[in-house]
Amino acid sequence: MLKNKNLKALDDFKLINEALAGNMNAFGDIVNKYESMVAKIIIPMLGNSYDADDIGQETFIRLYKSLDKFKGESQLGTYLARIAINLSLNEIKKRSQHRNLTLDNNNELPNVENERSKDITDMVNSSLEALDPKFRSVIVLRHIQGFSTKETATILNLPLGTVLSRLSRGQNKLKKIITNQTTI
Amino acid sequence: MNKPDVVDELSNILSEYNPAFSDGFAQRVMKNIESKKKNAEMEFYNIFRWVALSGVAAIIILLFTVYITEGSFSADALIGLMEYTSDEPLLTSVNF
Repeated sequence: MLKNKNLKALDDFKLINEALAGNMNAFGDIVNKYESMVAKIIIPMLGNSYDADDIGQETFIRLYKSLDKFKGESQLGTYLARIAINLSLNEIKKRSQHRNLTLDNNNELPNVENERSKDITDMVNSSLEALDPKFRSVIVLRHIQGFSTKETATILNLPLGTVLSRLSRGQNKLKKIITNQTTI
Repeated sequence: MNKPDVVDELSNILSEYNPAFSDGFAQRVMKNIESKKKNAEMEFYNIFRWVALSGVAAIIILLFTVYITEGSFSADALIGLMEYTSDEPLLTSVNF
């Protein structure tokens, strides 16, 4: 009997083949299926801004353009996560080159979540923003997205040891930032 | 605070963290892809049009040059055999 992960991969492979055959609805299904996953990588990396929405769209556009190159050696989720995290890191680099490290609040998207959820989202967003991108990316993939440390290492193209050390240091830093924020 | 406590506390906080794109994200992606596809088709059409127009312009210039130099649009003029008469074998004239 096939495990759930294998069934999911088979399903993805079917959707990719249909999209390659020109069925845009199949690609729409891929977008719907992975939208939340991509949001959980890009928004913590960039904040809930219009930039994050653009980078999210760009992630799926890149996937669409490279569908024929996707050989199924990795899971579609891992492949998308790699595109999303690389685009986010590039965007952070671009922002720092423009000396615009802080998130422009005027650029924030209107939020329709309930108050408590909004408070947590805002608190985590601002805490992550204070974290160095190299720690942020590991925390996002491991803790928010739920990838294993091995998958995180593959996505970031880093040795497992580096990921584990960044994870440990990142967790402590993030905890300190969150504690400082909640005590203020 | 030891390590498992930090991880547990973080996991608790992050479990309630649920960021999402604004409504209509998937539609925006599909619209964006469609418009990029349309742009790519337009670009191909534009390149094809310029290549075709250049070809037509080259043919017109060539015909004009032939008409100026040979004074005719005959088949012999077009293939450059105006100076040969029909009873003069072509191969003799090139010392074959």
